[in-house]
Amino acid sequence: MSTGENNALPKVALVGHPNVGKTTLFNQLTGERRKVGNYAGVTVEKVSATIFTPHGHQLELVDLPGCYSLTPESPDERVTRDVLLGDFAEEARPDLIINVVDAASLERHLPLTLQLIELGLPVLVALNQVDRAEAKGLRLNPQVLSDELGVPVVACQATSGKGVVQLKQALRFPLPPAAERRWKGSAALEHAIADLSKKLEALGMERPEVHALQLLGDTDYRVKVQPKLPREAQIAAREAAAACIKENLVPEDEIIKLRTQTIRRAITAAAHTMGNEGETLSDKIDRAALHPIGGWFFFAAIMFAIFWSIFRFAEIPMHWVELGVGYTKDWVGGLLPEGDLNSLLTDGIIEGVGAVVIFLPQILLLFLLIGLLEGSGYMSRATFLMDKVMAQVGLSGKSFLPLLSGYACAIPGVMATRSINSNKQRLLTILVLPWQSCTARLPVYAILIPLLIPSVLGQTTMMFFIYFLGTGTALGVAWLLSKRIGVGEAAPHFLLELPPYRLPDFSYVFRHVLDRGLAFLRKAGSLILGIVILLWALGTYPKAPSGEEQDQFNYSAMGRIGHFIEPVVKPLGWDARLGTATLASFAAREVFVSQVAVSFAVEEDEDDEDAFRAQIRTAMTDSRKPDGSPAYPPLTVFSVLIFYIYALQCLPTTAVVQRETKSWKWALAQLAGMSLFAYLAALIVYQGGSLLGF
Amino acid sequence: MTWISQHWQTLAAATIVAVTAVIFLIRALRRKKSSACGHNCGCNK
Repeated sequence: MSTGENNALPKVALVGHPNVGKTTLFNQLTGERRKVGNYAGVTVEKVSATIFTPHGHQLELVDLPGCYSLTPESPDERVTRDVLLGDFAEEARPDLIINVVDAASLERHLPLTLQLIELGLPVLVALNQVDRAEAKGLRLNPQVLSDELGVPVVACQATSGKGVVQLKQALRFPLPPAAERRWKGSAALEHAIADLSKKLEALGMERPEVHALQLLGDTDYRVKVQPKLPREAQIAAREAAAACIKENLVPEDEIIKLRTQTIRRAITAAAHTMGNEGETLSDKIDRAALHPIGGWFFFAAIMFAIFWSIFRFAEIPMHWVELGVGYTKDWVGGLLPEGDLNSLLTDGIIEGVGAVVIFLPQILLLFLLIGLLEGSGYMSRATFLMDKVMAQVGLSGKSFLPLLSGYACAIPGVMATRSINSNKQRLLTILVLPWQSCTARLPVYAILIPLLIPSVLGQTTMMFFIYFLGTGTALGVAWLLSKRIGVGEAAPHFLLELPPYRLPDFSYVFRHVLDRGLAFLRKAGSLILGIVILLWALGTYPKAPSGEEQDQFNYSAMGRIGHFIEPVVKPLGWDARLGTATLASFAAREVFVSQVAVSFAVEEDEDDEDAFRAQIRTAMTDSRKPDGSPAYPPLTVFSVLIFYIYALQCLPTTAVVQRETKSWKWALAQLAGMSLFAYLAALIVYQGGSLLGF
Repeated sequence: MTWISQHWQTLAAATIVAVTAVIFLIRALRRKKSSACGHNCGCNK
């Protein structure tokens, strides 16, 4: 019996298609006690809990990521396949599989069941949603199905808890033995499997028949795993494949055919239609929700509601966070006399971490809404509608919602890309997402746009242009990158199950929201905390002899870098003050406003933001070059605006991208790429405008 | 609170900054975990 790394408990894994009700069943079996983590090396969530059998034995129950088959299409599915095959680092193979199957769609779910049985592990089938199957006019006989499959079958309805007791009873010790493979192939196929198994066994590989079957019958396994095997095993696998070709045999095709025949036989014996199969409520809703024209209105209304809610409702708790940060800063500042530690704690840590934590309400709200959409069954429909559109630029239908939420904040958007199955499409979405104009850019726009256009109508048009430019660039770059990134990666098959509409499992949704929120806070308390401390040090040391705030920044390491890079920003039409303000806002773009205010000695007025911004604008307008010409003509202001539309200037986003991609390479490449893009765009605008006489 | 003078504040702040920098350095230099699957399929060879 295999054991987990940290405990010796037998392990039971829940396996099934996405949306089949695995998580609901997991909650029913565990009483919602659970531990959430990540599988080592990948951003795939691991949910597990300890449960007791009716006889008091302890078991570890693991909810494996949903998969349609053991030929993976996504990182999640690959984790499931690798864990079940015992090929996953630091994760023991389960001792028993509970395969959750939709009773109303046996033909689609049983191929996975047969694959699981072929793994040589004991399998217990949980025939879920029997009520829905009966409503559709299906009469199922679990005992006959059990005889056909050779494994225990328990009928249940996870949403109501029906059959859960029987399922727990079936987890009695000793665990049932592994069933035999349910099909027998042609002599040539059986010979190929047996021959390869023998060779792999001789090479000391564990579970030789299971691996032989995977090597012969699963292209993905051949492509991804075979090259990592010892040389002799690779040769044996290639020889076995060559022998099959010689016999005019495609093992993959024959195995699929044999499984299909086995399933048809099992369904014919165990399921009977009572003849009252009619249109369900879900079918009726789908007639509107998936209507070629009406479906888009339905979709637009739901997306607008989500977008509006993130802006409107998150604003209130965000204000509370802001107040809380202000109070904490005042309180801590009052405890200590003026000094470096006081400044580090208040201006560095509390303000820096507070500027990140302020996004927490948006993150929680977005994940709550995503959870409700997923739980209700509409998310699959939205993905179905958007996939064709997003595929034009190399993205997935599931990219739409993260991109939309990017208008509020890139951080929850990046975190929401986890639902995208394809690695390539997920990475593309993450890379272009910060080009969606987020709310943190608004204070910068509020300073710059009125300097360019005085009329409200003109300013509104400019805002529209900014949103259009950001989104247009994001989609255009996604299209360009899709031709460069993961070129060899096969396009994912668009396989999507449309689950019936249902009431979301609220406790699961709330727990998921809580997990996401805690993950974000952990990041804010570790990496981001470290970064704000270092940035504070760069802006504080070395100390200016005068002690004046304005002199101090110029004297500090960051100020000096700002002056040092002046020749770099000069071609953009900027002076050292703009260069320094941009550098200081490297970690958070909204810092640009306070830094410009410091440069022009404008006192910050928290009670009247509009008057404060007007003072900054006046100072900028009145500012003159030594020759008496305006220091910030419209072309320079437009160049700054273009830079801020395109530059990343948000360290929390970089930190979250690193966490989600598990790679500093992509996070830093995005930061460098977007900064360079912004610089070049601002350069083209300023130099082009100058040439045209603006 | 008068017990903590400006001098001590500077020392404490500099220590926090130094410790943070060292932690970042150690994390950057720390060897990555092996990507092998942990079983004897030979993928770490």
